Amino acid sequence: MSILSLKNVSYGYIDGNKKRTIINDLSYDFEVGKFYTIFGPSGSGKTTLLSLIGALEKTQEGAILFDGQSIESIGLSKYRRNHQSIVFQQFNLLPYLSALDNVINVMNITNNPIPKPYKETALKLLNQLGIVESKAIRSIQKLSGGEQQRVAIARALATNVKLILADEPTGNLDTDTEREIISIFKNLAHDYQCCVIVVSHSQEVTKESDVSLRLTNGKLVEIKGEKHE
Amino acid sequence: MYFILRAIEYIKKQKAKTILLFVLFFIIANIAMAGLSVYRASEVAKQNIRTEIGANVVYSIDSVKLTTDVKSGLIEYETDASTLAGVPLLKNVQLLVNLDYVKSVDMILHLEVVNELLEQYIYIPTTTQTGQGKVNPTVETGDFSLKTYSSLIPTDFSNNNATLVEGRFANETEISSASNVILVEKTFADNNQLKLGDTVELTEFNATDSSPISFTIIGIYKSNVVLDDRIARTMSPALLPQNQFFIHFDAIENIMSTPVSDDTLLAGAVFELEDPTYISAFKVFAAEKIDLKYGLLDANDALYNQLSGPIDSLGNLSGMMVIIVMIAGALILGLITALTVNQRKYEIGMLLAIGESKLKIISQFIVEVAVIAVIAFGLSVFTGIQAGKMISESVSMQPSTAVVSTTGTQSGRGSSSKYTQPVMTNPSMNIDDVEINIELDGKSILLLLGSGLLISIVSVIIPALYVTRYNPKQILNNIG
Repeated sequence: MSILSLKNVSYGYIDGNKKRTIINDLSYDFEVGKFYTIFGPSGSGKTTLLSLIGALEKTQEGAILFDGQSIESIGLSKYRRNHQSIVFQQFNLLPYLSALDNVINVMNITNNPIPKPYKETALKLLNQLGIVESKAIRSIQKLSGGEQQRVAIARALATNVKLILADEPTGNLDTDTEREIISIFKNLAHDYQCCVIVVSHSQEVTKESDVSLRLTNGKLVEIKGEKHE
Repeated sequence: MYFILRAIEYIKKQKAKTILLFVLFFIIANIAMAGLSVYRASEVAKQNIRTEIGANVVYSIDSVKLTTDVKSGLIEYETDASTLAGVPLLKNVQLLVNLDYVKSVDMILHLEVVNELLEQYIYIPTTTQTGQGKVNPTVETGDFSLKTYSSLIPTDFSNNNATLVEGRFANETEISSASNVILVEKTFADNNQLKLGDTVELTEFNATDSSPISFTIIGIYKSNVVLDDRIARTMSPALLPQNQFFIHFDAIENIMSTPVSDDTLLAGAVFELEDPTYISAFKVFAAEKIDLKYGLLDANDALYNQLSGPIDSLGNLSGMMVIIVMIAGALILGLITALTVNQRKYEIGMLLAIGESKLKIISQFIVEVAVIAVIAFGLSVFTGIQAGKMISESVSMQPSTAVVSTTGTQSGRGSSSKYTQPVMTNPSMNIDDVEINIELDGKSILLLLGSGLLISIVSVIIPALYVTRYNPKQILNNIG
């Protein structure tokens, strides 16, 4: 079942006197219960595409539909708050809050129903991702990169959304941690019926995904099982 | 409302920034508070001086201007003073009795009288070699003078130039029936062995066909006026306080050869105002009603100016200080908070990316600044006032005595007692007596702290709005 549809989406920018198209009349449907990876060479527009899907910026042409409704008509801020979550390569956690408070923070931001008390729900979620309470209450800056990424994933899951986006989530992690994170994303897609879209250079990630998409010349090409650079 | 908790967490975790901002707020607020407290104190002190000096405005002939104009030939020496513009004619006085300002009016007439059988008090100079005994002025005068009053208590008594030692003032019955009752000075009474209930016979000086009028003594007073030797030696003996008698204004016609009319020229009138703060307004009102060309309204202004001068300087200095600190403080606070917000672009971008509303992000920043500002400003209320006290004590408030010598009875043209000062205005106040109480009212504190808080909030909102106008990707990319 399609949860997210890209309809003739285009995006570009002016480079000197030339207009450079990054996303070119791109159309694609993403479904729940699947783990997607988007790969492609540097500068191909992977992160830009994820930013458009995550409503971090507006499309220049075309439309992005969530559950059949344009995200602009939903309202970009509201869409970000209630319908999707992003996991960033740099984690993007609030440095002055603990791991626990970072998770509780998004629970307070979203309008989605979250089981109360928030603290208990957040601790349970963090625990599922391998962050025990003693670490959860620590300052985020005292956690390792892998732990911070788990917290970032917990934060993404805490809002009970069906669309999880991740931009190079394993880029700063070692191989073992990378595997654990991939496993988490797979479970989210398969066990929790989420649509997980991950932008990654990592073959490991692509190999484990249900659908691999190469971004070439501003368009997505489905390549399942194909080895890529 | 989680943004409030985020704000609190930020304050707790970012200790260095919090302390820096706190110190900054505290210093600025202290300087502003000190300045404001000194400014307010100087305002209150000036009001106190005014209250101490009193709410009396004396309306009299402007003898200085009159003398100058006579000397310069603008008016003839023989000109009847009652024809001059703005002099205290009865009708002019009545025009100024505005009930919005005036509590009571004391109309004062001087009338020189004689009685060969009564012993006149003779002034004996204390410091000079010449003029032992009675020093005659160049013109012939009466032996004594009658001075009228129209208020319940004569102004000379209410301003402590004289004290009633025996008896009373005229009661309502005596006033309404214009009874011939009189108050005499104690020295005069002792010299003439007079007591309450005795009568004195007085005749108007220089009046033709006038017969002696008998007055019953109802009060004996003591003059508190200490005359300057130079003034006392040159003034008419009839005008010496010891030779003055007080009678009610309504009784003056009983002895005066010319009837009292609207055009009667008074020695002056003393307007007691409802409040000392009305003095300026009353003077404006009077100037609108009467062309005060040769009239003078004096609320002991010379003494007031002399006493309030240093306080005024202090007030102006502190006022300037408040303005400068507020402007400099606003700029510094604006820059610091703007820089702080600018450093938090990443956080803003991140919060926007997870769906936080711009309003709540800005609210968080406002709460952070407001919490620090309120604590710093709150503390500065106490320390600032203390600093204000120290400033006022250290600024040149050297003790000095301000004496304005309007004592005596200077004559407008030296010949007629009609033009003398209506009351002995001889207050001398020591500046030590003028207390500078450093305290601020709640309204001023709220105004200052509110302004400080507003400046802080605005200085947060502007850069925050500037940053949040971008989309999250732009903000996060710029940080990267």
